[in-house]
Amino acid sequence: MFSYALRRFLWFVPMLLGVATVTFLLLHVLPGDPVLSMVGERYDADTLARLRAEMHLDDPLPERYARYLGNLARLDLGTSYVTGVPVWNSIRERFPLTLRLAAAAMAIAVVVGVGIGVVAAWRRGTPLDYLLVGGSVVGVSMPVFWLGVLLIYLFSMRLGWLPASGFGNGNPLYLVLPAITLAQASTAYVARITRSSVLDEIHETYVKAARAKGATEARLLFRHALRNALLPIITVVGVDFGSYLSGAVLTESIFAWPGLGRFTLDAILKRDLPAIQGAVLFMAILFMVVNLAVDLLYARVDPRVKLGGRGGV
Amino acid sequence: MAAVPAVSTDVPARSRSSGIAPALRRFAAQRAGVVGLALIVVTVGGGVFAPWLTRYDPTALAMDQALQPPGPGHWLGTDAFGRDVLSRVLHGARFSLEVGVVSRIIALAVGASLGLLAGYYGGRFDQFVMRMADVTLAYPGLLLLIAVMAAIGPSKTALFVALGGVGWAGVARLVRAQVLSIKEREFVTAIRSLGASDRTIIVRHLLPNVLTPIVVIFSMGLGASIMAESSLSFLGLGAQPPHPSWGSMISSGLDYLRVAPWLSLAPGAMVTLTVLGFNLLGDALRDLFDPKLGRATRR
Repeated sequence: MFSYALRRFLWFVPMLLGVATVTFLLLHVLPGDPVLSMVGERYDADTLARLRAEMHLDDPLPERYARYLGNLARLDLGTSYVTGVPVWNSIRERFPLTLRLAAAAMAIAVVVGVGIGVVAAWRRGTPLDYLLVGGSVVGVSMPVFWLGVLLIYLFSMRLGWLPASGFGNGNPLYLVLPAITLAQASTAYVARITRSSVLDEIHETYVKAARAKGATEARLLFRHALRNALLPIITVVGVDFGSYLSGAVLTESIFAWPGLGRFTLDAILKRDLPAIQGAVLFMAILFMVVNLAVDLLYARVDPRVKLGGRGGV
Repeated sequence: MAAVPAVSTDVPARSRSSGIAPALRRFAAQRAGVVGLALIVVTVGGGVFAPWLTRYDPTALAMDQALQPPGPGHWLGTDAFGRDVLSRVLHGARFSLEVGVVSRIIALAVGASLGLLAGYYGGRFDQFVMRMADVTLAYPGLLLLIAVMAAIGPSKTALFVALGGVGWAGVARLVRAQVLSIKEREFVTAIRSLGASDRTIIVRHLLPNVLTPIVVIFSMGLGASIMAESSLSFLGLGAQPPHPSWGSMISSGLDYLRVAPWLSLAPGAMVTLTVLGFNLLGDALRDLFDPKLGRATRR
């Protein structure tokens, strides 16, 4: 176990470097001129040239790469071209809002998804099962942003129950629609995995033994089968973390939620290079950390997991 | 596989029974797959025959016709510029399908070639390819696409490059894993001992054996590509106006959601139905050909 964890940690460093390099290369082939987008066309050529020099935009690529890595090591993600605020400060300010949204969404996904999955497994083969399975397939196929649009139309425009956009100074009512939207794909996914894992467990001997002992069907499902099916479910929620980050960009843009996703999109639309770079890198690294944690947790909880193969699961 | 018939009869041992007719019968028995196929026929057909199915030009402006509700003249109403929504939705199908198919072909061609070569030759090349795949998959999918689109600027070609360039990694991993298990099988050893070249082994013997999973991930990946394209277009990073695309139609309809909800609802329903079709078909194909493929194809 220890050597497996160590190996995963050692592997993490070159991966970090790889992700940092790819992010750098991607954004430094950017064809637009960040100076122009920053100051507009108000300035003469000399001023623009001076600004370019100040921002080191004319330096050769290897030099910029070396400086980028050096700054990165000191957690310096540069300063936004647009606002002049250090990118790391903006991320620290925005990220908790995204985390709050993602946590609410994850809670919905787990509770609703597991509920649907267990009920479908319990009533397997009945119309209810087909309805729930069908619903979850539709849920996986529906674009996140479209669900957001539907919810806004129904609950805030037609019924007027919930606010359509904004943060509302932390008022939880503002969290409801974005959280449901962000949870959608994951809920459907969790439901499918729960159903199939519970059905896998149902054929295990221990469930048969419990049934023979006279346990009720509901007890079999919740006390026995679900408990053992939880591991794959936890893994799925963890591995699916990337969909929360991707989804946050879409969800936050529809609901004007002032989190990291919205920040990223704004940066892209304004061609704010350091901000894009910082935000993308931050989310990619976060995703890697979560994946690593899930793998280690999985290996620790389930002794049947082979520790040899790297990047198992 | 004419070279060594006696040995290669071993190969399709995995499939329960061979032949097209039984396979079709098994497929027909899977209702979900048939529903998926039907959805695809409708959406693809709508896209292909769009110019003949509607008499309106999807980009022609008619301000006097603006924001008409769905009715006999315009089945799905008109947008703020008086353009027929049905015509735009159908032409949007062309765009989404074109982007989906071309980018998937790029992803499969690159991913399958690299996966085949990496799995067969191993060594440094394998290491390099797999590390590149690891880095690509280390990003949350849409985020990398957003970064790529921001870097090259929104255009149809950029969508091909971005979706293909991000999609190759999953394909390469899967194909490599298949090759690793196949290349140790007896029939490959037999062929090699008969003096077959690497090229013959890879092209004539390994490739046909990884085609099945490739077909399955093509269908599943197509749904994902279409979803990704509409997400990018929704964010303004994909199709550019006045070109009709489902994602950009949903986003431009948002301004009129209260007075003309059909502007966003119709294209969104199309994305959902199309992606649903490919997902159902992909699931059915997977169950049909290779139940073991299971979770590897999903992320």
